[in-house]
Amino acid sequence: MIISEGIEAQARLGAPALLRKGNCYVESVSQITGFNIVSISRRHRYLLARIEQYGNDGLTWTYEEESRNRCRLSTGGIPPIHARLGLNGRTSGHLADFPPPFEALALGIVTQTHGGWTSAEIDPQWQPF
Amino acid sequence: MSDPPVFTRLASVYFEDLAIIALTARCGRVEPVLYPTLDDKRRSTLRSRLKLISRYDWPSNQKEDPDLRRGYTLRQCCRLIVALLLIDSGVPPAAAISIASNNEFGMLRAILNAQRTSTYLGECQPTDEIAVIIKGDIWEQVDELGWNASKAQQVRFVARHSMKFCWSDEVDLGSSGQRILIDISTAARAVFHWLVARRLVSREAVNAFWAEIVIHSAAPAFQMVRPAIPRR
Repeated sequence: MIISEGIEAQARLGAPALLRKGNCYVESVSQITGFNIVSISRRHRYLLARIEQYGNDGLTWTYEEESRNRCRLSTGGIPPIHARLGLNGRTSGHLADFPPPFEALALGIVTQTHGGWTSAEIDPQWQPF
Repeated sequence: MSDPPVFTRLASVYFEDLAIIALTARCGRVEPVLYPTLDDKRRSTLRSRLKLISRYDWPSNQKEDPDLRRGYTLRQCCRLIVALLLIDSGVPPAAAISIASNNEFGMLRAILNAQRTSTYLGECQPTDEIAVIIKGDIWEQVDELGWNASKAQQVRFVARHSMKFCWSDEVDLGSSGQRILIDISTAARAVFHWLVARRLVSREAVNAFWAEIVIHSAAPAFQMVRPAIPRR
């Protein structure tokens, strides 16, 4: 609720309905969850987060909520095509070693994206506030 | 079900971040900034200043690029970097965009040269090309012939280790007068590092962009195009 009000204040300044990394609310959520939350935006009363998680060699996985029914989990590496097809409907733990709670998300279509990465569609779970 | 997005364009929501990265790029910064932070008020001020650039149909307009709403191509990003650096050095927006558009390929080649030398931000490369601009607003009024002979609209490039040539006939710059120096290489290196490290644009798109500059190697570095006029 506080984050939504923060976004409201941003919108009143004529800015996009988006809180970036560095904003106190985003930093607080990052600290509590332990994930590198890059932005929290609002679209049709839904708060959408974007996470970019880094390892020793740079970016390792990203989680992006794009809209109410569109959400994407991406990670480095490309599984073979037959393995990729078999991932549909399984949990994200089968795709890569994600930390909880990201290891138990149901995978949708898994595709190969740029830079040797794999991206999976996720059915997002929403919490009312 | 939809296809995953194709990352050939930088989403316009990152325009302010691109400006911050380009303007704050410094040689010797070992840890590059990936997430520039700015308080809401300053970001709002920056946003309104950046809106000025689009009034000059820069980096492009809807007619020239119907997909502009989807974001900026890498070439448009380079156009923005050049315009931002010029405006930051005190050149008025109309003149900055005129210089940037007239010298587009020269600037692009300087950016490509910087990427070929190193993509590492840790230290300044001696071969980095510095853009040298002769402006001479008052000079033009008092000595038009001399000003015309200096080819003031044409940007010349001098390597960082050869800065003594900024006042030299060897690079067609003459031996006197005022100059504006733009470190395009460091700014572009920081921006491209940021784009690739955060996967905002695909590495394939970046490589294709470098190849595109090489293909246009015959294009003149300076080409007089219509001066930028703001839209009403």
